[in-house]
Amino acid sequence: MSGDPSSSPVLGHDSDVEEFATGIDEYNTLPETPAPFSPPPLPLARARQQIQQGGRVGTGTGAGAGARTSASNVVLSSSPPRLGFSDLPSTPGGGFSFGQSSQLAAGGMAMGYSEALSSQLGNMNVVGQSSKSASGARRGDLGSRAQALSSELGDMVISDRASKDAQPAEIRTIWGTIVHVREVMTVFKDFLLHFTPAHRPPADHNLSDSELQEPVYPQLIKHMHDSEIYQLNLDAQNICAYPPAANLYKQLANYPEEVVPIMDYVLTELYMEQFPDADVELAQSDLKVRPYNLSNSINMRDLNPSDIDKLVSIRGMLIRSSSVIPDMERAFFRCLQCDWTTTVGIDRGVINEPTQCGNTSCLQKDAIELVHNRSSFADKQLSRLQETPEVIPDGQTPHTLTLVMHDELVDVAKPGDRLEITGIYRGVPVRTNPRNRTVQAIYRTYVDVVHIRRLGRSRVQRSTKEGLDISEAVVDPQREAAMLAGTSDGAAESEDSKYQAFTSQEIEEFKRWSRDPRLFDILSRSLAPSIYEMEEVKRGLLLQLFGGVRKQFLRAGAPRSRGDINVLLVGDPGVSKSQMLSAVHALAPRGIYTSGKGSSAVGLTAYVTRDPDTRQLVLESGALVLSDDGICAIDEFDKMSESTRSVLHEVMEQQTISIAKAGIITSLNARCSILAAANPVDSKWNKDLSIVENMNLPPTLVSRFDLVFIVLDTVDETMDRRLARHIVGLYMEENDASDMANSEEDTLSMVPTEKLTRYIAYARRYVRPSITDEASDALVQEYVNLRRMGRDTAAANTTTGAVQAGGSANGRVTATARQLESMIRMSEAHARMRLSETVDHSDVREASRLMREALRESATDPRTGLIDLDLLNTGFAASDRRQLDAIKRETRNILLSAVRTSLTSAPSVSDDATAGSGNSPDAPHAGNSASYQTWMDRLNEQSYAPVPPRLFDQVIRELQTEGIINVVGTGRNMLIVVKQSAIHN
Amino acid sequence: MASIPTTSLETFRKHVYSPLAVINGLYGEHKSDKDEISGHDNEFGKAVKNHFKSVFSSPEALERIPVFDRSGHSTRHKNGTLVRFRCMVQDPSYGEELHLSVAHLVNSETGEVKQKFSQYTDADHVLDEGWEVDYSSSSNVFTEKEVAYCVSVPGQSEWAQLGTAVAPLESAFESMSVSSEPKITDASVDISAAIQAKYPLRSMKHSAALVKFYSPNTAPKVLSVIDVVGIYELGYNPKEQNDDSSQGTWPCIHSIYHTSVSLDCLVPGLPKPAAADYTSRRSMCLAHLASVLGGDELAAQYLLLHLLSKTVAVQDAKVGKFSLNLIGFPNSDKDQMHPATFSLGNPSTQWVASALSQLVPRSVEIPFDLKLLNNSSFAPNAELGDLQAGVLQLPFDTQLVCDETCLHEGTLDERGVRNLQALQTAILDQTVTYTYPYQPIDMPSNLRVLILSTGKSILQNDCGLYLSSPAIQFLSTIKGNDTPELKPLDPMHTEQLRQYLEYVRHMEFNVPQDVSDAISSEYAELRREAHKSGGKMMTQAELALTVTVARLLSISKGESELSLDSWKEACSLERSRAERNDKNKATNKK
Repeated sequence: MSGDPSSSPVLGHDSDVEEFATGIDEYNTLPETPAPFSPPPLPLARARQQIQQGGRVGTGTGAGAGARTSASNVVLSSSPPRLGFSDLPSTPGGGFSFGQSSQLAAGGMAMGYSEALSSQLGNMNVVGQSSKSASGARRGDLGSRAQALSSELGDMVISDRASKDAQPAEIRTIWGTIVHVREVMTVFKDFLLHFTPAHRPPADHNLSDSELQEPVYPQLIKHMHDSEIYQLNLDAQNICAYPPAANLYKQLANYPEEVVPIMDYVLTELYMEQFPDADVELAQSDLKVRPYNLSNSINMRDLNPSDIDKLVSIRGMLIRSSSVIPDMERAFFRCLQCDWTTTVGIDRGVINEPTQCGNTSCLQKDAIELVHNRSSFADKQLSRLQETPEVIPDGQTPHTLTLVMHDELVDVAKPGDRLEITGIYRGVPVRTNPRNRTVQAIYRTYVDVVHIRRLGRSRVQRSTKEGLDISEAVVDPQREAAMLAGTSDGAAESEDSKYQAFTSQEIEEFKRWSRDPRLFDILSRSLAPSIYEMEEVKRGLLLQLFGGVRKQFLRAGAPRSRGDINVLLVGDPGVSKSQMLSAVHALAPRGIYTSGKGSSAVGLTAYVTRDPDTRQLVLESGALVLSDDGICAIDEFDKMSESTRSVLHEVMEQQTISIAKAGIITSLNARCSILAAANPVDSKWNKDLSIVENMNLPPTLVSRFDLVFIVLDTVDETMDRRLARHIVGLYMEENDASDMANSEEDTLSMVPTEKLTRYIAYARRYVRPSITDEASDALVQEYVNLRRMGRDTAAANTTTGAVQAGGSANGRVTATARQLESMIRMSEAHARMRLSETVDHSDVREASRLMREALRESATDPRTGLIDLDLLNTGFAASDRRQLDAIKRETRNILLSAVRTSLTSAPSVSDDATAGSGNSPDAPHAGNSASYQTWMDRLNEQSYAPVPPRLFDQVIRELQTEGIINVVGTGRNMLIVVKQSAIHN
Repeated sequence: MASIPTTSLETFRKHVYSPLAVINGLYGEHKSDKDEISGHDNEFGKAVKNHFKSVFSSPEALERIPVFDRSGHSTRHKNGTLVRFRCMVQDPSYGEELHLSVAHLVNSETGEVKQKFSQYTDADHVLDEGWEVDYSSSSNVFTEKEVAYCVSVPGQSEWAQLGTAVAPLESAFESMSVSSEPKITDASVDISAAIQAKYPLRSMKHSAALVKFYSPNTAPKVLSVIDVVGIYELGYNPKEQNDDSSQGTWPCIHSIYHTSVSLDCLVPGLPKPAAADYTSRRSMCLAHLASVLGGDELAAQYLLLHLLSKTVAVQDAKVGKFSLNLIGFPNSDKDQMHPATFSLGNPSTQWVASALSQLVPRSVEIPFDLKLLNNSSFAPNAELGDLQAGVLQLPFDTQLVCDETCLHEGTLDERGVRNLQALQTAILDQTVTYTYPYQPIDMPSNLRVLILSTGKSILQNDCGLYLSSPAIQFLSTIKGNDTPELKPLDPMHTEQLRQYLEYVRHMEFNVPQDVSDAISSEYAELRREAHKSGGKMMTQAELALTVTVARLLSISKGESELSLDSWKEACSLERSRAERNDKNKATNKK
């Protein structure tokens, strides 16, 4: 029973009460005198010694901790009076008729006490009330001690007032701790009254001086009054930052059970001062301080016995919550004979029914009955917190931790939320043995929660206006929840619930990265490093991972616009498309990897099954729904059945899935990016077919992909060689492999996968770039260019005099408004990758470049509309056309003049020209041929800027098609032969 | 046994039957200050561990500790006795428990003080009259221990099991001591569904216990295979208690020490093979495998390579995996329905599987029986709080033998599809996804999957090979009753083979730069040639596979560096495989 951690005792025990009674007696009847430590009983001596030494031994705390918190009989009956002031005589009090209070449980005591007070001390009404309010403030999360302590506090105040002037310099330290009650009270009060933002100025604030000097907490208390939410979220870092309270943080962290009730009390007091006419009943019920943001949060794996009874802060994901358990905290009993009533508090999880009537004139045995509706109950909830993936060591399974939430914290967090919990780590003995004389060996641990912080609410956005942050800190968790729900945009909410928490160092690092001009290179290189090359594809996938901004148009009737970027990879088998897919899947925040071959339409969307146990209909989510807000990777896209693919139409543009099955009609969100990989229609790319024919996918579907990459298995000796070395390198020892990777190209550093995931998560979460005017102009321009591209290439062709076959319309993917949207999305994604809040011209440039790259517009042979395999390697863009023309003119001139001179002049020139190709048996004639490199060098000699090899390639190719030159051999051995016919032209 | 002196026997008996007394004695000797117990290093725990290790240092001495076995319904063990358990850590997240190791006692009447030590047990200690625990004392020591659910190693081959031979003399002692005590009945630890759900191979007999580790830092990870020496006790189960008040008792083992199971424990007493031995053992192994496969030498080569494979994660890729699909096994009869268990029904596949289990320490047989696929779950699932094992929750280096010959037409329901998908992921990515609430976690695995099928397997794998026709002939002759006798390997040789496989598998391997260059140019050359002639070009995947074959081939010869010869040999192996496959495809088409 009491093994159940939730049934932590709420009330103190008898000996406290006795002590307490004498306290009152003493303070009210005698003038207070400065009292030094009186010689305490044996255990106290040690405690005092320790206090004088200024601290306690850690394990002592642990041991005592078990005792204090535990619900065990042994503990309570055998421990010495733990509470109370060391300067009190231990004789029972005389003046008051508190004899029966020792039979009363402490709860009844608290009541009885204040009633007694008000009757006995009629003139101290207010004080009595305030003390009552303090004692009434019950904190389930703090356990037995809180109750007794708060009563004590009330007591102390009374004594203060009673002996107004004679303020004694007494030392009142809670036994077994270094907590000095009065000191804590004064310090905390001082803190509440005088802490200003100036003590802990936010990093980049724009607060005026006066705002900086404005104390924070009185405002918050006012806010509490206005909002009628009587909880103060106390940022522990503020305490740290307030010099006079330097010690308080340590005390709070180490002795929360003692310090927090004192804080509660001080808060109540301040509140009553500020609002003397406040509703006392309300105020007394729940004025609570909820500390959070401790200096360091512990991984739940690292909790160890020395943390017992300390304030700890732990991060994790809530995986389960029990239903709300009404926890009887005070039972009301009535004697059947004489209607004598009493209340009994819960004690170690048990409420002991009085066996005998307390009425001295009745004393009837076994005649007590419980009156339910006068008993009081509290809410309680058991939850489990699970480690989040980031903190789980490699190859380990996640740990879990039991949480106990009370009252206001019940149902604040939902399963699936990531939380930072601040609470008190507890241990309870596992078996409750009714026999007292046993040593209980095992203790189970749990955490009594005092504060719940939902992680990943946009702290960064808020920190820009830190002043607001502080004022928001008072908000009750429930209100927070309401606020969260209030941002009813579904997108925002679902993102909120799956935030990740980022440390400031991390954010710092990310910001640093974002300023690196090579960022895009570094990141794309880090994506699936084991896959060789395919840089452009990686870039596209990277943008897909970052994603554009999801927009909801405010104008009525306008649909929302998706921000997700869909990518299609088409290509030959064996070019690591699938690896690419799984690499992206591994990086994506959420997602499903599925193969088109095996999926049916229902498997992709959602389907209805009958639960085998309950025979009820259950809606089960398929891949697309499960990857909502993530990436759904579909392999073998071409093998998918027609009906399945048709489902994707809805998903890819509307981002929802409608289901009407077995009486369930619903529309589910499927806001996912789709990454699909398909093989060409004959499983190998057919050079003679156009792109669309090769893909064999309906154009309506293809046009829904923002990026279509064509990945072909081409033969290029140097590339092949490097690729082979890369693959073999994977088998080499690690050092060699990394050396190789470094030496291979420039020393671009790589980002480890986890970091990349975090970076993406961070960017997705916090960066919502908006488009600048400049960028929108650029977008328009690029779009127009894209539309015009067909004409452009045609024009270019006419200048070169090639045959205009008009084939460009055949099988070309032409730009539509969809492409404009894609471009916007990709620009946004690129800006997001730079962590930039605005989309700039550079983003648009990169996006459109990538898009053309993907479309392979320039690789399409303009004469036929077919794709030219060799052109694919260079990835030539039409925007370079003009430059290209100039180069081409020059090249032709060089070629022709070189040949002419060789024909007309002495053979010595021709020797020179053929020097580079001397070893080639294919060289047809001496004068009219030279190696690729030779021609290029010649061209460069007369050019004022170096000619890009890419363009030169293109020029050579075009000249070839024009019939001016012949090309022999491939790669570095390529020979360029000028045709005789050309010379005569 | 006569060689062991009687004093030593007495010591053993003391340590085996009352280990707690021994430990308490040690504590008395130590009178250690509490730092030694509570400290991070757990000095006292180390002292206990060393003491027990020294007592049971030799394998013969170890054999005197009874082997933990609860697969039957009867209880063989007595609370507080020493047991050995070879197990796999199935669920290490049973959480930590706090333990009051040293309690400070006060006599309320006389004011006397003393300390009570209790570790390696969960039992409450009854105090004498007048004594009470002083919870406020600073000399109380709390320690923590980590609890893990451990099961007997799934798929463990018979020869790799712990020697259960307790000397007859001692079993006599044991039975005597048991009979003198009241027999503990524990109906609660029946082989219930809850226990079955935590064993990867459901419905198979196994033992399970909660093992409590007293130094959490050294607690083993999930899937590790360990030998635990510890004290048996019927204790309580922390997870059970969360749910309701029924406090079922569970078998617990308080680990005094644990060691990871290495080959040395499996084949003790064999000297480490010299480098020169590798070639001879290799040919011995090849001959043996060839005789298993009806004389198909090429298949034997590939099977050997498969047995030697090991997956290594490089960057974000897994290299070295080598799942093999042997094609050409006779179909099992459809009407020959066998119960859905993890054992092969087809005599011919069974024949191969049992031959393999003679060689590898752990092998699991998965028949692709529709009923089994639809009813079991392959991936572990913890959504209900407790980690339920899946078939694929297997220790590293476990041999999986999948029998596709018993797959017949029928409906594979959703669960079956998921199961096959999980298996497919395990083959391709070598990861198994554990479903935790709200966060599926991919755990690395390292399984060798051998698929025996009639035609090409439905699962994608690294390497498929058609058996030669004599081999197919041979396999089809294997029928239930008249199994041909395998040319017997004498035990010495069997042990040598086991050792060979295990040593070679863990060999370091490297590719020298010049070989790497040679391979790359060869690859480029081949592709160019193919491109010219319009033939099929070698793909990256094929190159990677050939490099894997070359690697395995090198280490099978005991070479730690890839030589050009091995590379050539690998290429020719691959060529002959391709030829055979092409031939078979051609004949199939006809």
